[in-house]
Amino acid sequence: MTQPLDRKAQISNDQLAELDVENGEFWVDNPFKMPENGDNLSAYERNRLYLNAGNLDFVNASFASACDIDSDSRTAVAMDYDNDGDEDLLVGNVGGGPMRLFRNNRPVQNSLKIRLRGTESNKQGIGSRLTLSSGGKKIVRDLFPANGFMGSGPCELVIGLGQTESVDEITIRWPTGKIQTVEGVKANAEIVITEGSNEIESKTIDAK
Amino acid sequence: MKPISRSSTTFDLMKHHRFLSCAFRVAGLCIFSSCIINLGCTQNSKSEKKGNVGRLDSNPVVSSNAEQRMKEYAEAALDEKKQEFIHQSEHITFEIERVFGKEWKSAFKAKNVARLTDFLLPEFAGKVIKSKDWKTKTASVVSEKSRTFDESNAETSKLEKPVNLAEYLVEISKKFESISQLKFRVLKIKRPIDDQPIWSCKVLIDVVGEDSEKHPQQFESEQAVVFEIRNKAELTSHPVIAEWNVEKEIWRHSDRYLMEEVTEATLLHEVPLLDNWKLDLEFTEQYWFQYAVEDYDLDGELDIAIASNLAYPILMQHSRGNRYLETAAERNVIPIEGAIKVGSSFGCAWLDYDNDGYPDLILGNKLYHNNRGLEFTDVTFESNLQFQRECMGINIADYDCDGLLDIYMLYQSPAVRPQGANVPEQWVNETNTGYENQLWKNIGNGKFKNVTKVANAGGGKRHTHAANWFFYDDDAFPDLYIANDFGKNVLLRNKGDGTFEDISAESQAEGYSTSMGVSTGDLNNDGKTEIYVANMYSKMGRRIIGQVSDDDYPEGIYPQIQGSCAGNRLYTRSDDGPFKEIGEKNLIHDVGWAFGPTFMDVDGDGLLDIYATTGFMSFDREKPDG
Repeated sequence: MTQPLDRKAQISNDQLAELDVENGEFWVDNPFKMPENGDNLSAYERNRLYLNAGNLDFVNASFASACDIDSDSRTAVAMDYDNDGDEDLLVGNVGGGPMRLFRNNRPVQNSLKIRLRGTESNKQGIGSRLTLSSGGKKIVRDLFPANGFMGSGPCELVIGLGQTESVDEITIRWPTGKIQTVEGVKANAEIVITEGSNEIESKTIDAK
Repeated sequence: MKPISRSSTTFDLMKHHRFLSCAFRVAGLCIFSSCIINLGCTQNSKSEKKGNVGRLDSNPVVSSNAEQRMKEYAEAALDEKKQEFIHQSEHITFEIERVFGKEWKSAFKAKNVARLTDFLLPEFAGKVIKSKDWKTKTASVVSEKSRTFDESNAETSKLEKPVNLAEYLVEISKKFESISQLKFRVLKIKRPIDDQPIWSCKVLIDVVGEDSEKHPQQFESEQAVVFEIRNKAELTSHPVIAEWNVEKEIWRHSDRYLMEEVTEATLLHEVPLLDNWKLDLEFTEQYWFQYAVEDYDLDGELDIAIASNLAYPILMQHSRGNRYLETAAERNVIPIEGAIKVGSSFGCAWLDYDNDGYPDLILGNKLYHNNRGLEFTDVTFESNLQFQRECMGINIADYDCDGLLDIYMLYQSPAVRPQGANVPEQWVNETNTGYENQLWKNIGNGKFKNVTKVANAGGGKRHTHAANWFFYDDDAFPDLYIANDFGKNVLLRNKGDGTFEDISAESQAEGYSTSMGVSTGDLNNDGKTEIYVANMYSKMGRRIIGQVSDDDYPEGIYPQIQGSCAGNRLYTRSDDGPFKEIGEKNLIHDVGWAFGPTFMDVDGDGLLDIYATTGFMSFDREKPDG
């Protein structure tokens, strides 16, 4: 029996004799001993990618992700390391390579990268809520850098816009509770929105 | 790059292994095994456990819990016959998956009709799905179609001869130009007639590979399969399948792979960290490091800081050509008051605590001020910050919205126990087992103050793995979701007056679980945050649960057992009422021994997707999994 059982659980001698040792079946009375003994425990499980199909429905896209690694992973952080407007993925593991980086290889989509600059609020704008509207569609994102376990991402929002060329309106609720609205923002740019200011710093993204 | 020679590494490890070996206890697993089998433990083990209680008297913090636990042990004994049956059915499962499954997979891959027919008994009966009613769904480049068995087609679905099943399977195999993963798994197992060697199973077949155009493709099916297994030898040399009824089929297809690994191209394979798979068994660890990503020098490129349980800080600087180079020493990320103590803290976070525009850094048990992106200064002492042993994580937010970033520190049970205390392993839903989490308020001038008590922000003395700041309600004050192992999770609502209230129960998002990670975000862009919690999913656990019921345990125990292997959970709500849990219903639950997930928009359609990590400790690909 390969599954871990309790440290005090017993099995009968008949059951012990039944174990298929030849094929690796084994018995441990204490699951804590398994990693110490070098026995696999939930080993080589593959990470998953679930693509959002809308309405809280998902498609398991692990098979087509090329990042469904089996590296005893612990942490995943999204980051646009090559500044091309899509989110790449940095995965932290305890086996099979401690840090593995995956470049986003999706078909090119329009996007917007947003950083916030607080004046009254904290400088990084942590704890802000952004609502983007265009053509009746809404995207809601909150800025909190930690989102998982044992890792945190940058204070920037990378927002996929699909085929949308520009955003009609961005509403920012700053941590102060104050609401600021920015209108008519073209896609494929890296922008900085400063609290209380109408001036938007903008830089074009070279999507690849 | 910091040189990392095997000898110095080994020395560090040996020096510190004493702390680390017990530092981060086996997560989650013990819940399941403890519940199922502990509860079924034999009489003779009870006396031993009573002995434990006596020895615990010197430690009043744990003794009341321990006594309570011993009481639960004693009251909760699973019927011996049931135990025996569980062992037997698990043994048969092992043989079916490991011995029979190996042969079957080889025949399937070989597209060999004759061999696949040979597994079937002469009196074999089977059904496949004839329904044309495919359900489809699409997410950007990935499409899925599925269909289920429908009684209205029952007659035409019947297979006339054994060979027809083999032909059906070979048709599927032929749709794959190459197969990279193939699984034959028993999801449920029953013995319809006592003492008969007939086993009725729910079998999952999962095929991943590429089609003739080299596009990624997946096939998954579930079938009710009846095995007749008289002895082990028959599994490979005799027909053993009496029935095979296909119940569900799923095809998935994509015209491309969504990601591409660039670890070596970016030189991240040279990061000076250790890798369990390259270490001798005695040096392996459950956790090695934690990292935080930010553009600390404002050059427009993202850098990576890493806190590990090795004795040095790591800063991977984004350099020309999208390559990462280690620059901690160059940037003076050097603690001034002695070395970073190994095992002392995994804390790692960027936060501009003084609002000077340059993100400062928590790394290990130190706070470093970022001097205009040029170098760092250890300011831990001046800041008044204190890190307890084994800080499991750092979450940054401005909880009181005063414009200064505050720090939430996560803690678990202390691994290094008071001397002489014989503390038992954690038990289900135990509180008061160790340190509570801590909230440190930024009081300005580079100083912090521990306000955990006055803010009611400790979250109970639980075994916290992860936490997220998020918006539970519609004010700008961030709330906290805390993911704990061994027990319920905690939701702290920020009242906006500098204090928090525990609304875990009324939110209905506490779960009973074995949580090791949590992601929050608005998955349907309706303004209400979803919470995705990483838990244990165990096929073995769910098989065993199929053999027991609420009646087998004292009240309240069975739901906890169920929770301990139910898998990841997604909590959602569309109004101000309690959350609804839809992880299993929406099929994003069965990840495995899950750790930190993350939300990200992989395909750029404006909807956050979910990347979920999993896998505990892998040692040998040839050996069975535990």
